[in-house]
Amino acid sequence: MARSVTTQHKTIATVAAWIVALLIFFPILYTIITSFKSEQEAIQGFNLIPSGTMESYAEVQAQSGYFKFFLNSVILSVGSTILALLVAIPAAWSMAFAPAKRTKDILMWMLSTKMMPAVAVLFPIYLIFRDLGLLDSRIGLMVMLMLINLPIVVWMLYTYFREIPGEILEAARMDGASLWNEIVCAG
Amino acid sequence: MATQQTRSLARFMLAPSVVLLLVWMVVPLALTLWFSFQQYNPLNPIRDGFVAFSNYALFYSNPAFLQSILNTLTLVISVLLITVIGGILLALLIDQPMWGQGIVRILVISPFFVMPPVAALVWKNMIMHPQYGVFADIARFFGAQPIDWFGQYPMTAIIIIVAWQWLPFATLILLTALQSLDGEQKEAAEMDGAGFISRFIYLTLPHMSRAITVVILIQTIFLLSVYAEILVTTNGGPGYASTNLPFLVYQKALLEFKIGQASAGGIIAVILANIVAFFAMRAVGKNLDK
Repeated sequence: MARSVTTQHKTIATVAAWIVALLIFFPILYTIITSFKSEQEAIQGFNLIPSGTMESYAEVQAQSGYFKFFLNSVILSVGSTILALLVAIPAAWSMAFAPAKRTKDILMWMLSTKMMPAVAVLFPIYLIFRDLGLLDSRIGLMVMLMLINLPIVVWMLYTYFREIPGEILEAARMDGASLWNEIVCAG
Repeated sequence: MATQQTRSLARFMLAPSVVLLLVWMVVPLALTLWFSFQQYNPLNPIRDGFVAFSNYALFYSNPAFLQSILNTLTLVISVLLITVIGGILLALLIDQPMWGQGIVRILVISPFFVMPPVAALVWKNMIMHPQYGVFADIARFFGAQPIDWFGQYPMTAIIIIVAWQWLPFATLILLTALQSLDGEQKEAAEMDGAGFISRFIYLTLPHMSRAITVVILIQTIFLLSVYAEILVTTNGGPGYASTNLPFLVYQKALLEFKIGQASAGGIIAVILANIVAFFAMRAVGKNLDK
């Protein structure tokens, strides 16, 4: 099956791919480079070699407590992901292994809830959160992020679970595996 | 394979997500619909009350309204075209055997991990800035006048930024599809004397069709509500040149505190999204059954 690849072909592909990849990566690369420049250097025109100063990093932390915001991001993303998984794993499992007539419709409907523009429902959600006392709290934000991402999580898990052959699960069940074992070990 | 018992168990396990999503969708939508028939201004509550369809009339007569719908569709379609075509070409390229394939793939995928506001800021201040930007430096190097991207071509600038963010996603999905293409089929086609182009049209492209529909569907969902990039770069301007529907609703709700009009705009946005979704879903639904 393996086809012999000429060195010439490989060289051309390598050069082309690296050029394109570096072009795509360039804005990020340039940001990294600029982060090691002083304010003066940063506005002095195109320059790929920074002086290597760390003063910008020190300043960001000193001025606004960068680490605290970073920690907030981590807590929110990890928390909302765990919440979403807790709800989505059972749903995706049941749709993948015990599909009913309406499974496909439910999946499509779930995805269609993502099509609702967030701004359209911004104000009602603000009011609901105010009345529930969830404003300005990490928990409230976490729940909202979880709900926003839930359809995508269910979809990805569903496509993944579908790849697992049902026979394996049946065999496991015969051998006395509980539902929990089934999900943890197979999924 | 499913017994009666597993079936009811499955219902039971499916319930939490369905109920949560139903509540999450129906309650705010109902409230938005309610507000869209009300005059409601948190800063000036004296004239609040039921106003029937006048919010819709006001929102519709707003000169920014048609422009914003046009901008929304322009953004979605242009970015889809760039990312799908670019993604196919890029996936074909990095699927070739080469040195440093792993690093190339990481570099290509990297923009996807940059948060939208950060990406917009980077492009605004370091790449497209008419004074300090890299594009300006390149223009000056060739003796040309630097372009003021956000002043002269705001939509083009935003399309470039958003396409840069979504190209990695398209490439990644299409690359996965490409890799699952059977090597023997490719070889057989080659033996029969099919050239690169006919191999691509009759073998690779049909094989990728499912992945392409997934890319189009998921990207449409996110592109319809692009917002951070516009807020950070042009703030909808100059004039309304780069205002899209979500941004217009945001302006009404949070800058002018016209909740009624904003809700009417939100309902219109929902209807527009549903029209787009209807066509996208039908196309994908057909392709997913394969």
